[in-house]
This record gives sequence, C-alpha cells and structure tokens, in this order.
Amino acid sequence: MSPDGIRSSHSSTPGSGAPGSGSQVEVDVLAAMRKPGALYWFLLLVCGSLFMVGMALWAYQMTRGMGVAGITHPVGWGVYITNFVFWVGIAHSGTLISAVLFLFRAGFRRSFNRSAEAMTVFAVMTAGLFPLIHLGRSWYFFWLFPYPTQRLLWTNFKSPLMWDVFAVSTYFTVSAVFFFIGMVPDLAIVKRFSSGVRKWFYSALSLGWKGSQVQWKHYNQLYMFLASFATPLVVSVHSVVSWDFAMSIVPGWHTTIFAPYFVAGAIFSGTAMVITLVVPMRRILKLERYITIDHFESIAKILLFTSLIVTYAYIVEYGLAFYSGSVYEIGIFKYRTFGHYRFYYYGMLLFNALVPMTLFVRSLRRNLPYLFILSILVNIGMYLERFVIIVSSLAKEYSPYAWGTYKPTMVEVGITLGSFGFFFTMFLLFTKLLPVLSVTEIKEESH
Amino acid sequence: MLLVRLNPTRLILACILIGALVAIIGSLGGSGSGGALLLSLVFWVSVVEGCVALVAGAELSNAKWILPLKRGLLSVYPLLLFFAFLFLLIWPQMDLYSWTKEPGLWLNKGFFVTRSFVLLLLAFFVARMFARESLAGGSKKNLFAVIYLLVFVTSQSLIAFDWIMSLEQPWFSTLFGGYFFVEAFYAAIAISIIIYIFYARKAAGSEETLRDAAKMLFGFSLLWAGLFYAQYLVIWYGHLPEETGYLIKRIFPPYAFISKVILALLFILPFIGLLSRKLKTVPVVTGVLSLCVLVGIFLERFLFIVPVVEMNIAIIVVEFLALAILFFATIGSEDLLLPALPDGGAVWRPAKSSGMPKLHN
Repeated sequence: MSPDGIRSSHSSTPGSGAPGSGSQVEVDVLAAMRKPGALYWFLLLVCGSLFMVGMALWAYQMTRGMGVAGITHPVGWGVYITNFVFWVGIAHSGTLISAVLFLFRAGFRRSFNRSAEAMTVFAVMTAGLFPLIHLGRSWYFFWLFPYPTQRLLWTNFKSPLMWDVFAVSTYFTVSAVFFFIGMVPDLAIVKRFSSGVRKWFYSALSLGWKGSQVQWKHYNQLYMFLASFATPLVVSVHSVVSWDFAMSIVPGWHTTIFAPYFVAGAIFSGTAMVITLVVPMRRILKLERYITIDHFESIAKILLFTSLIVTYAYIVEYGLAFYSGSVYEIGIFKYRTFGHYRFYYYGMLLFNALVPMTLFVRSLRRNLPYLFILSILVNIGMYLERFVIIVSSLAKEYSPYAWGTYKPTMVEVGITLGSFGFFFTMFLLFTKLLPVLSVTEIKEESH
Repeated sequence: MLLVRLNPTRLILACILIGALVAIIGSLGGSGSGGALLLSLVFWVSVVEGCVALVAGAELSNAKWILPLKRGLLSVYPLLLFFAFLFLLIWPQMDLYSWTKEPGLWLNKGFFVTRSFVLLLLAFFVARMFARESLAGGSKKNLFAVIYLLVFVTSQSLIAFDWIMSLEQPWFSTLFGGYFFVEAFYAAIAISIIIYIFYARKAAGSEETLRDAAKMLFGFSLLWAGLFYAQYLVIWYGHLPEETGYLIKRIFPPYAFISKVILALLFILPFIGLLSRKLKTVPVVTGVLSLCVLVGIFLERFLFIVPVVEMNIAIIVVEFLALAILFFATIGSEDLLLPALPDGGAVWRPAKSSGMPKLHN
C-alpha cells in the first residue's frame, strides 16, 4: 500500500462475494461483532453507570451552582480543564496512527488504526463536555459561537479559548469524517453478512459501496486527501490548547516550548491509551493473528520516542527557569518540586519520563502485560502532568497575597470518573457495532 | 561539483590550513572576526551533525529512501572533529558575550568552552561509531543511532542556548533548542537532495528517492513554520518588554527585509514549490529549493547574531567558502575514513551489469 494508491482495485471487492462466504479475516473480524458475552455486559453496565453518576453530578452542579466544585480564587481552573486537556490529548493518537503513519507508509498501523480513530472521535466528544461543565451556566454554550445577535455582540477572537472552539470542532469534524470514510468498504462487508435491521443499518452506512474500480479510485484519492489534511490538524489542535496557557503571562505557563511539548505529550498519552484499549480487546475478541507482537513493539517505540520528547521538554523548562534568573520562574519550579503538589510532580516525572525508558529493552517492548501496565501508568502520569501545570501555576502566581491551594471536591471527582465511563461506554459499543480492524487493508496486505 | 578529491592526509592538511586561516584572521584582531567564526560554526556544525542525525533517524524508522544517499551523508562526520578544535579559537574572542563581565555558575568562560568542546568531540566519536556500523550493516547500528541522536539533540540544544541565546542574556526562549535541532534536520534533508542531484542520481536509479526526499523537505518546511510561529506568537502575544526586545531588533529596520527573505526561503518557497507532485521529481526545482533552505538557515543564523555582535561580511564570505569547499569535497570523497561496503558498494554506486543499483537488500 502506498499513499498514492491505498488499495488497488485488484484487492478484494466486498460487494462481489456471495453472502455467507468470506476470507478468514472477514470471518474473524465479524466474529468479534457477534452477540456479546456476560463479561461485555458487565463492563458496559459498570461504564454506563459511571457515566450516569457523572451526568447526575453535573445536573447537581447546575442546580446548586459552581460552589459545589472546588475551583475558586486563585485556582479558577482545576480538574475540569485538566480533563479537557487530557481528553483532547487522548484524541491525538487516532490521527497520528491513521494519517501520519499512513503518509510514512508504516504498515503496522493497520492493526491499530480503526481502534485509534474510534478512540479519537470518542475522546474529542468527552473533551468537548468539559468546557460546558466548566461554564457553570452550560445552557449558554452557544455564546461561544460567532452568530449575529440583536445586541451586536461578537465573540472575542483575540482569546485563545475562542481559538479552542474552532480548533477542537474542526478536529472533531475531520476525525469523524476520516473515521467514517476509512470504514465504508468494511461496512459493505458487514452488510453482506448481516440480515434484517442490521442489514438495513449497514447498508445505509456503506453508502452503496460496491468495490468497483471507479469507487476505489475515488476512495483512494479521498483517503489520501483526508490523511494529508488531518496531519497538520494533529499539530494545530494541541498547539492551540497549549496556547490557552502560554498566551497568558502566568509563570510556568508562558513559555515558547509549550506548543510542541503539548503536541508530543498528547501523542504520548494517546498512544498509551491505544495500548490500554487494544491489549485486552485483542485477547477478548481473539484477534491475535492480526494484531501481532511485532505491531505492539512498533507502537511501543512511538511511546518511547514521544516520552523522550516530553522528557526533553521537562529538562529544558526546568533548566531555563534557573538560567533566566527570574524569581517568578524559579519560584514556580521550586514550588512544583517542594510545594503542595510535589508528589503529583514526582509521579509525573516517574511515569512519563523514567518508567518509559524501560522500553529501550526489546524484551519489554514485546511483553504485552508489561506494556499494558506501563500504558496505564503513562496515562496516570499524563493526567498528573496536566494537573500540575494547571493548578500549581495558578496556586502560586506573582503576588503572595493571592496565593492559595486547590483540592477537587467529590462532585469534580465524580464528573471526572463519569467522563471515563462515557469514553469506555462508547468504545465498548464500538467494538460490537463496527468492525474493529480494517478488513480491506489487512486483506490487501496478505495479497 | 567535485572540486577536490580528499584522502585522510589531504583532509587533515585542509583542516589545518583552514584552521590556520581562521586563527590568523582572529589574531589580526579585525572587528567582526569573532562573530564570523561563531556564525560559521553555528551553521556548519548544524549541517554536519544534521546529516548524520538524518541517517540515524532513517535507520531507526526503517526508511528506505535514504539508502542511496546514506554514504554521502555519513561521509561528512570527520568534520565534527575539526569543528571541535576550530571552536577553541573562539576563546580569545569571548568578549562578544556580555555575560563574561559577570560570569555565573553556568555562563562562565571555562565551563562554556569545555562543555561545548566535549560535546563536539563526543558527537564526533559517536558519529564515527554509528557511521561505520551503519555502513557495515552491523548489529549495533540501532544502538549507536539512538546514542548519536541523544548526543545530537543535546549538542544542538546547547549550541542554541549557549552559543546564540546567551548573546542576549537574560532573554530566553525554551523552544530555541528544539528549533535548532529541527533546523539541523531540515538542512540535512536539503543536503541529501543536493547529494542526490550531484553524486547519487545514477546510483539511485529511479526518481522515487528524490520524490521522497522532496516530500521530507516539504514536510519540514511546514514543521519549521509551525515552530517559528509557536515561538513568535507566544512572545508577541505575551507582550513583555524583556521578551519582545529580541523580536523588535530583528523584524524592524534595518533587518526587516532580511527577516522577510528568511521567511520566504524557509517556508513560502519550499512550501509552494513542492506542493506539486510533478515538481518534486524535477532536479532543478528541488535543487534550487534545497539551496534556498540552506541559504535561509544561514541568513537566519546571521540574523540571530548580527543585531548584538559586530560582523565583517568579507570575513564571513571567506570562512563560508573555505568551509563549503571542505564540506563538499568531503562528500565527494565518499570512501574517506569509512569502511568498504559489505556488498561492494551497490547501494552507492551503479551496478556494473545494468547500470541500475540494488536499493534494497
């Protein structure tokens, strides 16, 4: 496969096979979509319940007011904004694995791209909740969008928060289109093996795909275009998210490295989440033949590479704070090291910089239980990183008179857990409703 | 293109001659000699370190496009040893750094020169080990590639922070180090295209190598623009006098024009020129755009230094030409200090039977 021709017309033509017949990969991937077992229903119940609890707490917050959350002066941004940055970060690996690795002709992407793309879409949806939750009066969310009003009010385009609205919504749109377009030939296969309502459902989704030469030609062109279009978006979205902080003159936030540092961190955490999701999925859905240890080793290398970039940013930030001689810069980094949030800071250094270094050892890169545990630690580390950056800088800004600390309340913790519930619920639904691997790409690889 | 064919003895002689030339210029005490030497080093060290780093990165990611260009890119590594010693000539001219009047723990003459010298030496030794292992197809090539890249990133970052940023101390930008090593990669991709055109065109056999190298150049033009913008925007938006002073000195007269030329050379021209699929395989276009990128990086480094350090254009030209000739002569002498290829050079030279090389083992 090359970026110039994703799948040749000589590869499988999904519309042409007789119903009920199919290659091994079709059989295996479709088997994963069969009626779920008890474990699946149990996981769905847990995640769904968590989500419902989160929604209930959000409703509670709306009725009682923002006072039920711990955010107040001087720390006006707490776990809600941490969650927003965390989930936007998680959303990054989808486009990286699908688009960037596609452009670089990295074959191992085929094992992960569908899950990663789905994860991207769900993670952006989860992230999008948090600005609304943080608003307080969430029903006024439409004030964020520019629209003609009687009072001639206009959004503040100079605000990085406004840039976020556009960056994240653009990213969501393109990611969703990319996810859907990449799935069309596979949906046609699923349609072929379905009956009743499901057949009608997949028939509508597959947009009349027949797998003809003309369709493949257009499909290849579109996929290439979307991959090229999505790649700069990976960079732009998290750059804009980083500028929510860097554009201010808050010590610890106002620093030029933030954009590439946030982008690398986002890919780092997103890749870790892909590993967290795909390791159990591969086992439960019996996809060991298609998602191999070699593929995991390749994705572990990406994890190591992005960890090194993040570590570089940690060192440079810290070093230059002392180089600068600025009492405020030095003060904030001393506070991170010795202040109220020091254990979170140590956790972030341990999980994001030190533990991933073990991936230099080849046998560990190929050890799935180890990779699974490591990926969870990385996600914890990246969450801590966002929390430390956001909270510690606000807690100890310029004037000692305005210093203060922040502790999340149970409402904030519950809503945060609810967001995890939402994300995993969506992913569980995805594994049973849509093909979790790109069947046509895997078939083409074997031809 | 090949002006001089070097053997190890000639290389050492050439280095001694150029070193002596630079030392004489410096000892004459002409104004601007320190700035010229700094500019030469900042540019050529990036280019040479970048060439080896590009191969190391490609090796680790199993990139195939680099194969016909690999030997040419790796052949320049001996120059790192020369640059390490050339750097010592900066010692008598250290007064171009204002902090020498009030030295601190990090910024003091002795530590400054020592750490730079040691890092350049280390870069040379690791580059040598990597180049030999990579060309011999050894089992440790990936290990040396990783070590080299770590040294490269450290070296380029400290060149940015120490050699350039400290000229304007206490101004600082955390992105400066990353900006430098990305530019080193960018320069190396431009060099790889020049190597393709003048040295490896027949060996490569097809246009695909050029197309891939041109795609990389296109991608890095975007990356460069992204990093430039990320630094510029944060400083501009923050609007702090201690930060904006750096930009004001460079984007307003007398340097307004040159800063626009740099933007055009490093982003606008390569981006627009390489959008077309067809133009990516036209040697004249890719060659000219590669030269644009190299000139752009040189001018940008010039712009980093010139507002705060006195420069002498004549000395800059002389030193640049001397080092450019040395650099390209080293590439042209591809067997210099490198092992023979295990396959007898099929990767680098055309196969005798058909005139077509084996690109992939």
